Amino acid sequence: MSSMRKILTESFPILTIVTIVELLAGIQLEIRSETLITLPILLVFIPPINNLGGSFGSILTSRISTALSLGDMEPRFVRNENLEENIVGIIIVGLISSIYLGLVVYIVGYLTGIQSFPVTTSILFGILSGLMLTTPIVGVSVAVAFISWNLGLDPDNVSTPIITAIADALGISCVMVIMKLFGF
Amino acid sequence: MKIRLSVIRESLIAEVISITGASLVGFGLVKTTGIIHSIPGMLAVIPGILALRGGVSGSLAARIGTALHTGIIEPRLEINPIIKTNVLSAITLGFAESILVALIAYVFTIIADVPSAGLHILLFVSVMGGTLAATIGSFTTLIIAFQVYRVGIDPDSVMGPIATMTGDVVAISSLFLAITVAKQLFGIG
Repeated sequence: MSSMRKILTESFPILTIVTIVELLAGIQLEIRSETLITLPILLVFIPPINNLGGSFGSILTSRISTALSLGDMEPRFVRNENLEENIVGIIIVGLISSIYLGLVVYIVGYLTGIQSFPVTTSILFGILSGLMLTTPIVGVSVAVAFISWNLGLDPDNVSTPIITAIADALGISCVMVIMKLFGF
Repeated sequence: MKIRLSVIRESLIAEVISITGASLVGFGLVKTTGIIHSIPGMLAVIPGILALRGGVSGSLAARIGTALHTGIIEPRLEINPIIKTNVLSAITLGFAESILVALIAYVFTIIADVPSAGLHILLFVSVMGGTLAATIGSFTTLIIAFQVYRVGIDPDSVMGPIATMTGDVVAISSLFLAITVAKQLFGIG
């Protein structure tokens, strides 16, 4: 059972940090719960916005880790073609995905009869959240990849949970900011 | 340009799958809001429990993927030491972390000055929902990873979004069940 101890001791500290970050996201939901209950379509936006940030953050981190292992990149913030190309690619994916996100939430609302925004507002909502999320997530992902590389931690075990937690907290904050912008 | 295109090709598909799945989870969240909201403080617990299943079944999927590739396990549901260790670890983590989720969520509701149903109820729902989600989630992750491996797809490249998506569904359903039981038990609502 020594390997069970290994799994537990490696995962527990990371999951604890992640839990605290996630609960910072959760408490924002609790504070704005009345608005979320009266405008349920906003709740539909939350999981996909979180997934959007989480998945492109973890893709970027794992690509950087691979580039670092292969020696194609140095773990420093200097101009580097490989890093720039990865970032540009991720930003393009982020933008396309956020348009798709707005559209899908609109369709889910339409099909399930949850009172929704007009399709243009829904897509605008998606694009705004995509724009707000992309920059910080790109920064955090590069930083996490470099830091875990420099500390000699396995990025597979460490980066993904950290990135997803930060993406969740940022994603929910984005929804809150957009709610303010739209006056909900 | 080559790198840029490979990023786009690789991640766009994963994004499309996870956004579509997550929107359906969002719909599930809307359908369960009534019951979630009937216990004050519960909404704060949700992201914590959802993150748990990601951390627990996501890393389980990664470890099983590696074990399948290196040939130390066969893609069959059977009692062997590796599977036992992995599943037990996932469930233990689910249990321990959901205690933590309830404790921290309770402290946050006090700091943010929002109403809460009280520590014992948050603890009950979180631990029951979290442990149930980790248990069902572990077995679902195992079964899907084996199935995927058998058809010749590399579990490492697809299990991430799939484990998150099924984990979300399992977690929301487990919480729903735990809240229903808590309401009966403690006579809330």
